[in-house]
Amino acid sequence: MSKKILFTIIMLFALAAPARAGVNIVATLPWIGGMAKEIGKDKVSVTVLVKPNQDAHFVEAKPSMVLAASRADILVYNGLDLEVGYLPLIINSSRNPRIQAGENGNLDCSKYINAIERPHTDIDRSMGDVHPFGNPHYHLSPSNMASVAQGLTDTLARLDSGNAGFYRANLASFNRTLEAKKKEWEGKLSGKRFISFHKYFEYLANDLGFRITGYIEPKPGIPPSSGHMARLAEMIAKDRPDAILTTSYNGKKEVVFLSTKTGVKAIVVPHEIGCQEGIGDWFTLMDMVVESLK
Amino acid sequence: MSYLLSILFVFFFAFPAFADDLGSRLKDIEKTLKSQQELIDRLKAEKNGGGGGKLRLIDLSMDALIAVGGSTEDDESLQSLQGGGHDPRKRGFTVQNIELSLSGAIDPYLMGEAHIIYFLDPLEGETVVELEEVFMTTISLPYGLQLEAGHFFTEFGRINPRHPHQWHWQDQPVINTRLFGPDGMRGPGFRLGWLMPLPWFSELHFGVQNANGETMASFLASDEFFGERAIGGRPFVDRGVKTLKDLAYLLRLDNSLDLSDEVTASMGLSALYGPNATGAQGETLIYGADLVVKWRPEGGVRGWPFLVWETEVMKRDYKAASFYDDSDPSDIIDLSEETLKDWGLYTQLIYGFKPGWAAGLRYEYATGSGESVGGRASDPFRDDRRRISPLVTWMPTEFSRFRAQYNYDRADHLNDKEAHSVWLGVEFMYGAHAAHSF
Repeated sequence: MSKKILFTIIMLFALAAPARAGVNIVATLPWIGGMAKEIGKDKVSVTVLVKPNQDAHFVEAKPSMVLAASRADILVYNGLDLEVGYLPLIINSSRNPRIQAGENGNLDCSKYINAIERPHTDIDRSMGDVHPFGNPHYHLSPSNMASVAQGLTDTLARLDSGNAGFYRANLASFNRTLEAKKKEWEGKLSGKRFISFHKYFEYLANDLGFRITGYIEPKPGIPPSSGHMARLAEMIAKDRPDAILTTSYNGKKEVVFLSTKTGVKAIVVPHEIGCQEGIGDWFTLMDMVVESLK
Repeated sequence: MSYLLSILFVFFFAFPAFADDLGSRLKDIEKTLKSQQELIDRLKAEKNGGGGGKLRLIDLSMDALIAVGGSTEDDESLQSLQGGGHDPRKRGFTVQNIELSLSGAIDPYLMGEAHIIYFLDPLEGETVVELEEVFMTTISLPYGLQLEAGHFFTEFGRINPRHPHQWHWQDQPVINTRLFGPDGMRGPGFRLGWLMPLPWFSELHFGVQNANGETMASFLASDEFFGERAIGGRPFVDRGVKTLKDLAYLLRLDNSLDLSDEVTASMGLSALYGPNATGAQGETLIYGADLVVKWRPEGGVRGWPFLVWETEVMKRDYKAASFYDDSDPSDIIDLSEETLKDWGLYTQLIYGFKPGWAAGLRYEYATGSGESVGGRASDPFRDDRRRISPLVTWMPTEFSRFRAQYNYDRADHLNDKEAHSVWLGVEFMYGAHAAHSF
């Protein structure tokens, strides 16, 4: 009897222990997980810490995240302080030497991009949640994604040199698709003007030639007061932008309010892989984003 | 004449028109120039601005907890009713806890952390400084091990290892005050944590700390602590440290499981063993269980809504040694060996119902067996006691918090057996953004 129980327990452990397929990548955000899959395909296993419709600014370091990080070969994250509220704790508690700062397995995607809106004067928290290293929401940017993919490929090729050729081939195919898609997206949104809840679409605006003319948040990360909302409604009614934008996790109430008040269309822009049914990779995400803004 | 007139006429009409035209063109040019200059400045700044990282030496932060309120009990009685060192515990204002935190990487292998506390003694108004914690943690030991060494909170349960500003309520649970003293159990020593190779998060902690000092209430404590809150009214005996048996030992198992994407449950079991201050034969065993269930839906705004249910049960077996003192023939103290048992629990539910707002309810119970000198019912730290505390919290941002809390107490040691208190508190923090522990 006791032997049977012991056997069952051992079997349970054996079954439950994570099956390791190739390089174990832990990504903070869904889009990063998506990029890792584009390059690594079946040679990597990807765990994503933050859920698609979760506000990436307000994430709690769950013990399960620490566990995932403790087993990671590579930890890939957005950077520019977006994950500052939970990632340092996860890295410290993971006791995983591979993913500590400065190691090959610690990959900050933002180091491959050209950050915009870097503050040039001193900032403090009276200005809201201003990111000292620039606007962190760069993942909706075709121009930056090529270099992020390149950085990811280099890292994978270094850590898993046996499959370096495989990763480089996947990168080449990613870049081909990207070039084709860029032509497709180009010009579709140029000249448009939008109001946005959060500073979320600036990189995309730069790439695709539209403009964000105002924000519902009076300061980044600071919810609007009713007075601010009234002034905004007036401004929007006069200015008539093409639409008012937000994402699924914040500002829906405010955007709907302003839309009914002014008659300007409200758009909940799909912002992450997996935030809606059918958005399984970054290209689909971008297609949907461009489509939603047209 | 008509020639002159027509010239005048032309000037009269044309000049302002011409001036108008010139003015607006000038304005246009100025505008273009200005925007171009802005662009140049921006590009220049972008070119020179970023890139160069800074050497991060110490992350500094300051967190202040200040309360105002009142109670049906007077200040003297509040010192034991609100027995936590950082509880609101005075009619009027209490400067509960001003915490200065310093943390940073020491080298590629170690992280350092220090927390220094300032507060005002509620009765004397004197500034008190406490070295709350200072320790180093290893970053990358093999086999899932992590070593913490220095002076730190004992990893027992949920409330004790966390700082006052990480608690949802403004005061610490009654049972924590009884078992771990006013400032929580902490001391110099080391702790080894092992993240076990299991499919779920499971960490085993083993710790050793000095058993003496005012923050080791249930163990060797200090003369001064016994002067204020002698456990069971027993006299303090200075034992000294002779063998490894004179240190305090911790064992804790911490498990956490995501029941779904939105619900996480954490369960812990803790035990402490060490000598106590009643005499050579005195020893203490403390054990407890804790459970936290958190619900946080995916589409929440700024982390709202959420629901957190947290419960801890803990018990202390305090084996008090026999004590005999006939140095004063008129007052012979003769106490027999006895195990004083105390146990209690708190259970609390907090619901974040709309962004920035949360409401909660906490229920506490504490009791015991074995007599205190002078009777258990009149011992404010061992009597039968219940407390119910509703709470409303408003957090305009993650850096400030306003709380309103009502405490209904029912305790044997009180003259009227019950007490009502209301506490309003403000918290503000600035400095480095510390990541929140779960």
